Amino acid sequence: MNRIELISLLPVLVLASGIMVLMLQTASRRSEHLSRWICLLTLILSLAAQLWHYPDAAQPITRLLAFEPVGAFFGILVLVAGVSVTLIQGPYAAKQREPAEEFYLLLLCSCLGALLLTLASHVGTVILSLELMSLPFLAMMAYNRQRTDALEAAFKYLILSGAASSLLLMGFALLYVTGGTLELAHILPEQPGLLARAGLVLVMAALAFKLSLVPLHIWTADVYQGANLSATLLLTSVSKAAAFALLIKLMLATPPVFARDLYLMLSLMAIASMLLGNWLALLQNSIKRLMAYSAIAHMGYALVAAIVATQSGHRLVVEGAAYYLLAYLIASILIFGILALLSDLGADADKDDIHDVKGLFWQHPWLAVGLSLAFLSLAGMPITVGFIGKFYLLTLAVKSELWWLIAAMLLGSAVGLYYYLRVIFSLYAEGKKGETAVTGNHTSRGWLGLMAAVLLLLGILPGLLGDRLGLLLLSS
Amino acid sequence: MALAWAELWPILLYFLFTLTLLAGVMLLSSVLGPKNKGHSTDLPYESGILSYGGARVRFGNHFFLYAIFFVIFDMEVLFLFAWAISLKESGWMGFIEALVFILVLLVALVYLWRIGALRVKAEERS
Repeated sequence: MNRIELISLLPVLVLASGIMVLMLQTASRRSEHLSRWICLLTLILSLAAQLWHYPDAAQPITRLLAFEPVGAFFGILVLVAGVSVTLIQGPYAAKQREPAEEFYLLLLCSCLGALLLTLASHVGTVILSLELMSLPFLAMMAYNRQRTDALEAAFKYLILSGAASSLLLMGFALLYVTGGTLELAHILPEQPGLLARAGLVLVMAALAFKLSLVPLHIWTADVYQGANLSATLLLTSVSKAAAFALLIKLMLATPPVFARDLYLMLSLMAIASMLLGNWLALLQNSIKRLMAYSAIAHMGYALVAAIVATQSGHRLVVEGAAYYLLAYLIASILIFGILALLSDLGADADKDDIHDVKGLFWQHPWLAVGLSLAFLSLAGMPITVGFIGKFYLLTLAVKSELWWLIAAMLLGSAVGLYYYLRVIFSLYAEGKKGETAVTGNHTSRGWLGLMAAVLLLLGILPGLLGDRLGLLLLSS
Repeated sequence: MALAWAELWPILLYFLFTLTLLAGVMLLSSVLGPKNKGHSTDLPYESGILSYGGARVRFGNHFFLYAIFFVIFDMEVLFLFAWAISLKESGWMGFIEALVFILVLLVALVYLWRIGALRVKAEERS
């Protein structure tokens, strides 16, 4: 391992040493405040390292990792999500009774796993980092042990994600039997037999579980609803971004013989996710459940980019996928962040019912405006970043002439508009009397304000990032 | 289809063998086994002791923690064995990497010790 490799690994190394510092700090003297700042500092330093040394070409680091532009971009998304969770966790968990320091430890471990997953170029790294990412989620979901829903959610996630991991292992094993290599770039053999196809299906099923795509989406709503807001935000941002990075990498390395099978399979999954996700979200009263079904639908949209990637190495594929996930991430951070400002981890449940936020505008106008912006962005309204993301995907789909997918996308978006607007209308309705308590310090509010500003800015001036994004991602 | 058959027949054969074996064992034991019907036939088998009480008892899990720690640290010693065998070949680079590895283990141990996970008596724990 030479100097350049070490510098390329700097974000990972910073995160790993941050974890150790945090462990020693917790061991010597417990202080929630100090832990939060160490965690924040680690994530920001890691983010800075990632931005400072952005790769301009794919560069292997040993046989296990590869430092390349696409993964690095998703790595940035992961770290931004980590910073957001750290900032909202402080005020959100101020009144709970569990020791607060370990949450940051688990958060850093999970971010480390996700970051490694974006760097992975070998099956060994994929399995290891996927587990490192998922296992801390369980503890974070059930952080308040008094909530029975949270325990149920963690248990469901434990069993189902264990099943998904075993599918992944079996799939990779079958691919290894036929191909004889464990490197991701060559794992799909050029001459596929039935075994290799079966392996690919299993691997896709495991990824579909992580991305909550339709045949394997059933866990999503219950887990989102039961888990606390910070864990839900992590699940919807960190886990999805990292799993999607892996999916895109696999898709870009697909040999042409697999393209037709994959196209059929992924298209069906995408169409089903878009329609079913939006349809099931229609009647939800809990915003967390609504976000769960909306996550299913949004991952269906994002899958369109992956489908195009199997068809042709189109220039816009990676850019579109990255932009879409960025838009989704910003909106999720805003929604869960604002809900966390209204809720308290120590309470029996989060304030996520649609009636809890009724008339929020008349009490806390800025929070309501932030929530509305985020929901409008998810619905894909113009002047928000969500519109640009959807525009990218539609352009891609039209260029590749995937008419069925376009039809499902339009139909899904139209249905989606209804339930997003339902929440927004309720925000501005005549609310119940009495002040809704709001926690939160200047840092967390400032961060959410920044996210809202970015959401608008990138919606109005998409070229600001879009032009550079193309250069960043495609230079390989 | 012919291709699939050529690739998959050993698996199918194995599957059939397993199925026949299992069915055979169960069939034989039901044919040859005695069929007495007494009042204790349907009781759960507990090595000759009559069962009492409910199955849902709470029990302390602090020995479970030791088992987990043992497995974790034991597994990690295995990696050190691999390094020790190739000590000369891996050179200073390998030495530094092993040092980092041991350091991480040490930090984990300090953490476990300080949060009181290693205390045997439950009441001593903070």
